[in-house]
Amino acid sequence: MDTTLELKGVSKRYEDFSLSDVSFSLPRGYIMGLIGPNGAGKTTLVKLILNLVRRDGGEILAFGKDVRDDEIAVRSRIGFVHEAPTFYDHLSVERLASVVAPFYASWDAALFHRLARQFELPLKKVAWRLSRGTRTKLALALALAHRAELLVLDEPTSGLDPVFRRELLDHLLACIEDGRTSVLFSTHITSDLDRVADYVTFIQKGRILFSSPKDTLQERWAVVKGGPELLTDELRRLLRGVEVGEFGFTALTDDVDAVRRRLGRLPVVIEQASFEDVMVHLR
Amino acid sequence: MLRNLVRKDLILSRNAFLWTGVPFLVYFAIVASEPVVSLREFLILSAILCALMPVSVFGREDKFKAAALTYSLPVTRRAAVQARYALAGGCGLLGTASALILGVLWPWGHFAASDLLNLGTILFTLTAVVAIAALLLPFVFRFGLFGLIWFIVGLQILGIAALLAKTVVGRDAVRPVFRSLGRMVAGLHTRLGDPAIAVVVLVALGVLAAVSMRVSVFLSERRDL
Repeated sequence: MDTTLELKGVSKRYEDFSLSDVSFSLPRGYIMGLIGPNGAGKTTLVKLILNLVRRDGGEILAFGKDVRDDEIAVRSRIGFVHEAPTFYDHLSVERLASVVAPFYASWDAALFHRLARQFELPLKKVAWRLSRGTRTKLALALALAHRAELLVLDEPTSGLDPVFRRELLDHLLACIEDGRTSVLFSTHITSDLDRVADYVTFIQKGRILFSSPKDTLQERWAVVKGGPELLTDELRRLLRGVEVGEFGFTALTDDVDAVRRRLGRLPVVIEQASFEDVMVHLR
Repeated sequence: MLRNLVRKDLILSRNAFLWTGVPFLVYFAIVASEPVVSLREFLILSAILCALMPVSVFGREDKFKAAALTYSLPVTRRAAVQARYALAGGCGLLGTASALILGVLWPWGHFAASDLLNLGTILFTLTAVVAIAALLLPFVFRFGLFGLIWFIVGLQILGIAALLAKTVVGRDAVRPVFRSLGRMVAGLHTRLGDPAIAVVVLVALGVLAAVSMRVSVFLSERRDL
């Protein structure tokens, strides 16, 4: 399977935060969701991929090329949607596109206008007058109009109304239909992952907790609920993120068989974990 | 790529150049009409404003937080820096030429055309523009608009510290420094009419601009956005 994006042992240190040993890969033609709580390092990771932030160690390859050493070749094939899309706000949508277009040999003006019609972008309107959702649409249209093979989106759905959020996610699904486009998007809205992600990478406190196909993850993790009397030290060793309440405990496990063996016929509930469960218990 | 970057900056900053350029021209005209202002003061003031104009305009990118957009395009930071040096040079030269021509044509001006339009004066102004821009641009590339503001605020704090030191110590240690600086500037202005000195100064300006640009590239490449 071709790999579009590959990170190997990437690190970045700040005074109060660091990303350590970040490794994962995104196969061509798939969507990967990058999830994690606020402040986990998602935006830093996205910026590292675009070389907007300098890495301290490791390797980041896009299309087999180092994003730092071959930045022009790599960025020509990447479309980026920023968390809070920033533009030169006094320019109109149309003018903004005319500023961006010459930088891309593969810019398709007809495609941009088609996307502008589809997203109902007001071409004559200046950027600062656009709503949050329309700014995201504009950023997406700019990212798609040069036929990017890798779309990198930083929290594209946060702050959007449910209708447009769904529309945006559907558009991402449409993007990968050609088999050559891949999408990496960061989010903390776990329902977005359920809808579109093929792969999920979970980052927490600057470390990757897991990066796997979505289905594997959902098969791997389970939520265990039971009475407080069942929570022995031996059981705790099989559980993660144990929360004990008045009436019992809730925890996550990645070894369902071992938990079943341990508890036998005791009255517990073991159910498939949602991404939200995983995020909450592993935080 | 360089052409696209210059075009982008021109489109993005056209209004800002107009907003700053027009008041500067008015100011040049007012200063040129003041009999108490010497030719050298007029030239240095024009050079400072002409150097500050592109520097402050570039700093606006920070205001819009749009640097991430620029650097997510397929461009290198080196090319972006080079484009801005080219544009700063162009603006500085255009601004300086406008100031000198205005100084000559302004009906209420008190400078003679021969004072303004001679090799020594033109080179002197060019030296001042290049020196100021070369000093300031690395700050803008590394620290953005705040870098420029802090640089200016820092100079003011140094001035206040010098005044305080004068009051406390009772001896004006700064005045001799400024006097010798003034003598250096006057000496430079006088000698720039000599073609040999002019060539040396032009080479020195080229070296200064090249060093400044290398520093800016170095700093820009290390800036996290």
